[in-house]
Amino acid sequence: MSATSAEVLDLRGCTFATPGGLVALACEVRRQVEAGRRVTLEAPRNFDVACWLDRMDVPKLVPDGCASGFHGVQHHPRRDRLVELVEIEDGESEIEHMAELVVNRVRLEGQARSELYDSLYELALNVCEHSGTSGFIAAQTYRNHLEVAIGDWGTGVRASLASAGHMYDADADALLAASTTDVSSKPGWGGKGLQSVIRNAKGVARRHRRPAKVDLWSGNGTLRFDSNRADPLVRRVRHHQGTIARLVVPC
Amino acid sequence: MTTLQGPARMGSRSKAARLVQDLPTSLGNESVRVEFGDGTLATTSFLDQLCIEVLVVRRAKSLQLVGLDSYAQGVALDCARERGVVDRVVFPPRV
Repeated sequence: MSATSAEVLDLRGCTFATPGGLVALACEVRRQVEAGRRVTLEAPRNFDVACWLDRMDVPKLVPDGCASGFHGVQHHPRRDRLVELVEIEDGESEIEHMAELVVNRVRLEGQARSELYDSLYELALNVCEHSGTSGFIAAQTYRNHLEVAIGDWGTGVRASLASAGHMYDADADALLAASTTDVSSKPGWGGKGLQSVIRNAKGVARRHRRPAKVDLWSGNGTLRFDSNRADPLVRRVRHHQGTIARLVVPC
Repeated sequence: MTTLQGPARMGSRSKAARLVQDLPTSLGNESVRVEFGDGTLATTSFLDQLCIEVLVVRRAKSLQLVGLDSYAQGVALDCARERGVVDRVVFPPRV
């Protein structure tokens, strides 16, 4: 994705798309819109990717006439495999409903259903309690794994923790603290949400004997928790205003 | 023994705090029983806060959690262990 101006999000070169990228795109569009910009989207030249983005409701992110090159695909029922972009609404019952919607749509059962509900709830709650904005979620079940992404365009983890006096030099350091310790921007009132997400992903990986990943991206930092690795992989990347979490778990 | 009805879907820490808000601030030798329906969807935040409110803050004799699936039981035990109160969490069968 490249922005040829502040208003045009040019996706023409995009040849691959996943729920994680989709949520990042949705957050960027919404951030620009909230900044008062008129955003237009140029669809990918790759037909399959353009259709998938269309299917996942990307053109609905912008006003009519501001999305060009999409093909207007039919929305065939694929509700056992896809969760199109859903905006996360603030409010306890709204978050509960959203998390339950996703676990029902991807048809997980037993412990996997409980683990995914817990993870989605905690991630969506983080969006509502810490970001200062709303957020998006999207998911897809593939042949043998599920990918879910949740993101926002808010303050980001480092700034959120700083507001409670927890200062970190780098975004990745703040992410690491938030995901491996009880540190929280609400002192004495949390700090376990991201830990439970990572614990649940590792639990799924153990049961399926196949790897799971949790990717966290906030500001210039990313962390990847891979069930095959003891320590998270830390990388410095292009800036994202806000936070995105992506789960890839076997199913 | 005080018995409370748990929600169909657990949620935030606030929700757990509201569930027990009418309990006395010190429970002394009393136990608290929370009954959940079949298929209750658990969250870590809710169970952690429930342990804090009942066992750490109000110092109840025990927290009896009824109707939780194995996942939720494991989460509750992990939370209680971290709070140093794991010996007071029990999972009695539904009667």
